[in-house]
Amino acid sequence: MSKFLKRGLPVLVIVALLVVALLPSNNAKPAKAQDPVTIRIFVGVGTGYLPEQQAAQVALADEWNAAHEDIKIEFEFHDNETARDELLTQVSGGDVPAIVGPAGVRTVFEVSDLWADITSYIERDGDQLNLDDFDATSFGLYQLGDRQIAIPLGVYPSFIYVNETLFADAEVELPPTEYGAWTYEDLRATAMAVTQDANGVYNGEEGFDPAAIEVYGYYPFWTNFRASTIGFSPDDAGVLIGEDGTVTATFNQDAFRQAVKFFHDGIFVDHFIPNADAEGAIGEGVTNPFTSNRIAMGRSHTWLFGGIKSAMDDGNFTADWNVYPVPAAPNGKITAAVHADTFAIMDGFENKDAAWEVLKWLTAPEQALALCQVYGCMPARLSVRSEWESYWLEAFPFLNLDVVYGALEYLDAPNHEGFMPNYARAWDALEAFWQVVRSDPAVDTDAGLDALNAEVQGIFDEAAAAE
Amino acid sequence: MATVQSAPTTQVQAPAVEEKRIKLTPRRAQILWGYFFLIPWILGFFLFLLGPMIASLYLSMTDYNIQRPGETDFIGTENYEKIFSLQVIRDSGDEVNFKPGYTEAFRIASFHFGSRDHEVWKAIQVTLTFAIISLPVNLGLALFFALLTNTKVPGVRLFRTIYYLPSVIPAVVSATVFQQFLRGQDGWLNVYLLSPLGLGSPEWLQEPSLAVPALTIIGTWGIGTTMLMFLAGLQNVPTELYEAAEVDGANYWSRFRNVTLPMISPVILYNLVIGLIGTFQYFVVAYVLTPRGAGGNDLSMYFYNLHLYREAYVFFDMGYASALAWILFIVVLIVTILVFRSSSRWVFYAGGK
Amino acid sequence: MERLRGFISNDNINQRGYMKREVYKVIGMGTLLMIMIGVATIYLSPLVYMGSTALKTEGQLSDPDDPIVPMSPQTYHYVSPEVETFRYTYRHPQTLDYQGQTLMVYEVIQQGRINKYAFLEARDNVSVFIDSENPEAPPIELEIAVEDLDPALVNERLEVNLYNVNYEDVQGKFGLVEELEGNRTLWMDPEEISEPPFELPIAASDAEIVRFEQDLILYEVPVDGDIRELALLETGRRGAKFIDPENPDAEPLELDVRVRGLDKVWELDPHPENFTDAMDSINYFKLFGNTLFIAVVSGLGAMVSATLVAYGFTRFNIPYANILFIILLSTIVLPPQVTQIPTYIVYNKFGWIGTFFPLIVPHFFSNAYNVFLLRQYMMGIPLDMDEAARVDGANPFQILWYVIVPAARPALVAVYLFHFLFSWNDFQQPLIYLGGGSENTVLAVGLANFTRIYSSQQNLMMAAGILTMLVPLAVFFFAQRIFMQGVVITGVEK
Repeated sequence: MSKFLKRGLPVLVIVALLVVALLPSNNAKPAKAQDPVTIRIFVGVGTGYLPEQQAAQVALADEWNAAHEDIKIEFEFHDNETARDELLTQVSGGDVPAIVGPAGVRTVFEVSDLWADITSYIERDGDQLNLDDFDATSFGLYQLGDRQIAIPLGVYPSFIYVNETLFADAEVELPPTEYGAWTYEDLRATAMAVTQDANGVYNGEEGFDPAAIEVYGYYPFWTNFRASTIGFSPDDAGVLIGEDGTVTATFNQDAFRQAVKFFHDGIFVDHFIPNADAEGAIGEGVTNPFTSNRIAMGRSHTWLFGGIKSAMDDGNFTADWNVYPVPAAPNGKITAAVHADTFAIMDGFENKDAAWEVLKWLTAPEQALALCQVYGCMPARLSVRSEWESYWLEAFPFLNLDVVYGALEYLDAPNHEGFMPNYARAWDALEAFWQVVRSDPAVDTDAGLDALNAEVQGIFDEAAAAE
Repeated sequence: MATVQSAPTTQVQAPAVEEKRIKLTPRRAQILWGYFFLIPWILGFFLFLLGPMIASLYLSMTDYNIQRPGETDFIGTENYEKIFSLQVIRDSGDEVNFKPGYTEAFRIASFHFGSRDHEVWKAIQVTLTFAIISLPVNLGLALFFALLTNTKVPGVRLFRTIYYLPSVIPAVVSATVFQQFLRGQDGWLNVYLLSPLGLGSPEWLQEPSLAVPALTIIGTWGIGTTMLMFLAGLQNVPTELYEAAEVDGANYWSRFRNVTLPMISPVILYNLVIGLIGTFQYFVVAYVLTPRGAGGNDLSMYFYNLHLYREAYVFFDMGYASALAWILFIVVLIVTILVFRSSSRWVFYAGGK
Repeated sequence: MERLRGFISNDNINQRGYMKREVYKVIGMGTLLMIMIGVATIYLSPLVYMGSTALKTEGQLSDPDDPIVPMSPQTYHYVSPEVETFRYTYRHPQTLDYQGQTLMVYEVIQQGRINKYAFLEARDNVSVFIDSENPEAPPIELEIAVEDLDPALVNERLEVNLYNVNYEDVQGKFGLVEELEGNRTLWMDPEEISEPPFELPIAASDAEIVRFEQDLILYEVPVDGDIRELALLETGRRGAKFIDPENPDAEPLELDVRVRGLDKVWELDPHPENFTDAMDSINYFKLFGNTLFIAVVSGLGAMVSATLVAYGFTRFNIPYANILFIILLSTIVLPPQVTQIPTYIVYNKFGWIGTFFPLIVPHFFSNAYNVFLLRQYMMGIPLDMDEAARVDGANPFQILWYVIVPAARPALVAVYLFHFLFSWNDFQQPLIYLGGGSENTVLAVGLANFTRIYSSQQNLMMAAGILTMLVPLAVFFFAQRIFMQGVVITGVEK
């Protein structure tokens, strides 16, 4: 019988291989010269994928497609949770999208080798772009060595969101509205004063039950290690890049020690910051934690506006609120972390010239404004900021614009999502430590930071050794 | 009758007619028919499965990193060496210093075991613990439910549907439901079941030692499919066998042991093997339940597949992830083969073999 | 029949024996039923959670003390004697007092910065500006026409009282900015906060104040030993002010209670619109159709191909069957995460990305789970049945059709169900091959996108989850009938 195996199976293999070999030739039509280039824009690694956001982007694509015959735009939307895996599968599977975005600083640096360097294009078309119009800091966010990876589209400055109704209920004075007028120590005292348990007892009063806190004084929304600690103004954001390109981890500097201690004590000693478990409970059922009415103060970025607006429109959030300046760090410096969004061209995409034409158009004032209104960012182009401002004043007539714009004076540069060698592993090590800080009451934060810094340095060195 | 007669005739006639027809003895005909029926699978295997399997085997011997697609080198067994790298140091009271790149993976008595990938050892430990606890619980409970719903109780269809119902819920949704359900402070399990019984309010998803029990509880909720398979097996037990046993005066338990169990043993084998594969590939729930899919406190929910996924899609090391996958592949395959080997002792096939 | 005979029979002993059996039967049934109901309760509780959460709004979820069922606090509509106020940021053009004259300030964008320059004068082709932040510095000359510039704006945060104004054709709810001399007043429109205030020749007293109206939440408040339902007006650090809905014009009651420790007055308030929201957010019926098509067609392929292959494995004594079978099994052992990319490459080569083919065609080539199940089942079917058929001259196809398929019916139904369910809930494959956001996708992806987008909004997530479950559940409920038929057939024939 093995005869059959010997004869039959090889025949089957050959048939199968033939089928495999023939199929692609049927499908992969050779591109004709007059066929338009399709610029596929992969949306989802950042914002932009929400149903209500999609229409506006499709409208932009239609506008372009109506005016151009040779290049066509196609937005492809992916859910944020899965977009990363999908993108990697597409790229590795040889199905490379032309443009990816809107992408944040972290996305760009995490896979920095996948992006095209657009320096030469910018030099060529500098006049057309009107480079003066771009916010100088945000332009630098996408610089990696001598490579410019992207043109910024929008920025998301951050501030303290304050639920003024909770302050009124607690009869606690609101934070100052001027930058530099308060410190993290003041924030701690204020936050403790408004923290309240399920029986209505305030933190510091007799009978306060830290196991059943209902209103937390302070909660930095959607925390990660670097974003949470950057407010303490560490030098170089913890990543010191030397003249010769060597990278040193400085996550054990004083600013980080103060920051980590502040959060750890805030959770387990002073009881005004939710721990990891409580964060889950607060987030349940609300568009964003701030609208849960359980947070008196929280630091976040402009992207909260959208969620607050919809919660207010639906009647789910009726409290008075406003934005207040971030406090000054113990070292006296003020840092208001900033995020940014942009579109970047993939290095693996063949027709980069066509992709550049589209990118240029997307970041032009009119389109940038339209996209930023959808994404919730403040346009990186200065000339369209007042339109953006009018839009949000209509939604929130009381909004303190001075605080919003003031935050731009205290951006974090280098950015808290800025370059690290071996980015994904370094980021993961930082997050693992951050998880411990927020869930283990007994952790020695100083020793932990020393160990963390050594571990991250090891990860950095690994990358240097691989070069 | 026809077959019995035709068989010898073919044998006798064949040589007389033509050389080629010799091959079509009944035995050969049977073999050809057999392979003929296998064609869909063989074709599909070559078309869709073999290529990716070989590709992943090849990738496992490279340093392929999705982030640096252009710089892939063939590195032989380096990835496999990294997985199995172990350095043992006996605790002599001094500081334990591993070779550079090695970190402590685990310790047994006074021996410290260091590895270049200490997380993989943690992942193996978690996965094995879970398999040993969860698999018997699930199989036993599923069989119990199948027996329950194989009776003629009024409304049995409704009960069957209720027990089956949770397994039609998308995994992501059920993981989220259980995240609420098992929460320490206000989760229903603690509030309505354990606290009234005076068993306290454990933090199921935070406390490392409770991670595997918590996941086992979640798992029992989704045994509908396994129950269904048992039910299909139970319904195929000829009623006359029970009647015969009853006539012999067998009580329920001995009927169960001597009739039911042997008759459904093929289904038990099926559920065991599929359960085994499923447990070794356990992923979605642990991914959803732990922040960043990173395995939870003390890596108590850090399953092998979670490690594999993170290496591939979080850290982009597809080459190393492929090596991890092939190790898992080989281990599961060996276990499966062992189970099959043993099955000849305890699986009863009415159809022979 | 037996039961009937028992009744007809006059034999006492027989009847007693029968009665005894019946009693045992009833007791046994009762116990069974109790156990089953108990288990069902435990199994249903998370579903109850899903169901009740799916009927809630955001507001009903955020407080940990909220009841399990979708309830809202009762409210009392209270018209306060006080005036309603309006807070806003008023933006008006910035000016600079420069050497006795008032200059308009403009935004001049230079090198990534917005400079606020006051326009002094236009000279030939250039405009002359004064830096508003440093007026002492020498004037700046720039080649810009002032008409091309946006004026710089100053933000002023104001709070005004609202009045109902009715003056000639000016009617509406306006905020009083300033009372001017001679019975004139300055007003602003809350709908147009960027517009400059306008003047009316009326006094503030000519307009009617807008009384502040709000919905107050009712609490069960202990007052002097009994519990009263009072509306919360204002919370303080230690006490609170309440309005008695039965006597709203009385002075607010000041009580020494902690509001957070009080119970609200709840009323049932389910929100089935979560379901319609979930359905509206995606093209539900299109995706439903897609999913149904894929599940039905690929299920057919999966069932037929698995039957053939399992038949080949069990009923023909082929050499190396065990090795082939292990190879078959091994195809599901390799974790899908690592074969995903190579598989993607294969389908990409076929040109199948963005089509239903990757979700349907491979299932026609059988799948190890199904083959394995059917193999196990078919091996349990006694060989004498096909022997008999073979003796009658049936070919292998006929044996398969007339002997094996009827006998394996429950298993075939199980395979179809199993596949249907898998296909219905499959998320990863359609996601990778069809892409996320398009209409050309399946329900699981569409609804998962919907739920993940609002992943913190459990109510919507649960509603979407229930919507996904309904079809497989209905299919299962009805498929049981075929299950039972299978039993009857095999039971009779053996």
